[in-house]
Amino acid sequence: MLGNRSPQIDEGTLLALLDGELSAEERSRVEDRLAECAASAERLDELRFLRRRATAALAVIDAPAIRPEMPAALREAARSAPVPLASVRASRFGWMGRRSAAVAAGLTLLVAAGAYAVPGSPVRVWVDDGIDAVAAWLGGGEAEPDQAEPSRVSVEPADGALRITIVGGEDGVRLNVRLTEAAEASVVARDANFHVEPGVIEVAGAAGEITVTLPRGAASGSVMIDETEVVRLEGGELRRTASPDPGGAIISLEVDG
Amino acid sequence: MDFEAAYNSHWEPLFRYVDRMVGDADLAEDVVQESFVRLLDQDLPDDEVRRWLFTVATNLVRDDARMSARRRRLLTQWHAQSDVTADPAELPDRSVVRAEEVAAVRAALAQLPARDRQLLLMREEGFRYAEIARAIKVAPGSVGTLLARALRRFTEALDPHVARDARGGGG
Repeated sequence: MLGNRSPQIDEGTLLALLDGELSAEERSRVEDRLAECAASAERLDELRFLRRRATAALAVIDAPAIRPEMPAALREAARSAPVPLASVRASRFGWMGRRSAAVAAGLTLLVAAGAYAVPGSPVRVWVDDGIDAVAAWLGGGEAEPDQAEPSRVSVEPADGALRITIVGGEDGVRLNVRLTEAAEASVVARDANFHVEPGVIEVAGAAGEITVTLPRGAASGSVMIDETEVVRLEGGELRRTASPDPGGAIISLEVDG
Repeated sequence: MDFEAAYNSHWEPLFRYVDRMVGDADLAEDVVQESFVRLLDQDLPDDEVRRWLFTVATNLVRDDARMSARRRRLLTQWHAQSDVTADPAELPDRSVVRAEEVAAVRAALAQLPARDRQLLLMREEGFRYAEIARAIKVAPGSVGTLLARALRRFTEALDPHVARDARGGGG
């Protein structure tokens, strides 16, 4: 974590120091280096300021947190086993927030109006769809991230250069790196968080297979796993770089087009 | 797992976290409640419950497109509000100043990538780096760097001149 050869201490280590995340040994080494490096000490002060500023700012927006009493149905369900989750969900209307309660009330009124009773009525379809939507929301059936389809993001080179960084991929993730004649680089991954800047795509937490496509025409490109470069694009060609074990990833190179 | 103890211990921090993320107290309450309902299905050791709840709540927020639309709408309103009250000729009272401040913080949070927002807000709730790493599926050693970057992005979005001054004076 400390990067002994670096002239300055990296910000991650400085923040870890402020957050009490370093071991006694690491802390001692960082403090020794801080005593010798004025620039690092100044960055530490700056981070301390930014940290305080962020904490103060976030406190400004807090709404009063008034914890509701735990509903009786939930308490009963928590005590029984196996848990009758469906019945708990069915009884949730008693303690839903105002927004969901309003949606449920609106649907109930529509049903009571009688339109729902007409077979084939578009109102009936609409109400069914609405109930399905609310049920999906309450049941959360669509919210599990592990069931998400792969997502694709793309970016153009910045000054001819590209960097694709994969952070914290699961062990055994399969990384495919391909060349394309297109102008943009792209990443396709499942269950991932993406961050895109000019010339840069960061992919965090991907599982399964990650496909990185780099434009052959880019002046240069790097594919990194955490802080280790695993593939480099130079002169329109891909090559594996000498690297330590990049977190268990299996890397394959392909050339398309 | 003692569900009732978990409810009493984690409801408020989870509500604060989600409310900061979505900027809508009603919505935050729904998300928190749904997270606790889902907790009923789990058989977790006590020391895993908090991270599990925060992760599920984050996923509920992230995966619900309606929330994104609602956030954008609220953000637009906050921007409009800021524009209206930004006239320096007026002497704003305390509540207006506070509304502007809230709008600025909300807008700064909304500008962050989702992962940065999660990192910052989990850290504010006192999660250790190892827990954050598990929640966002990154190597523990990279959390400090990612957090420092998120912290910079947030403060720069919040008050660009202050962040620039800090950077200029600090390095």
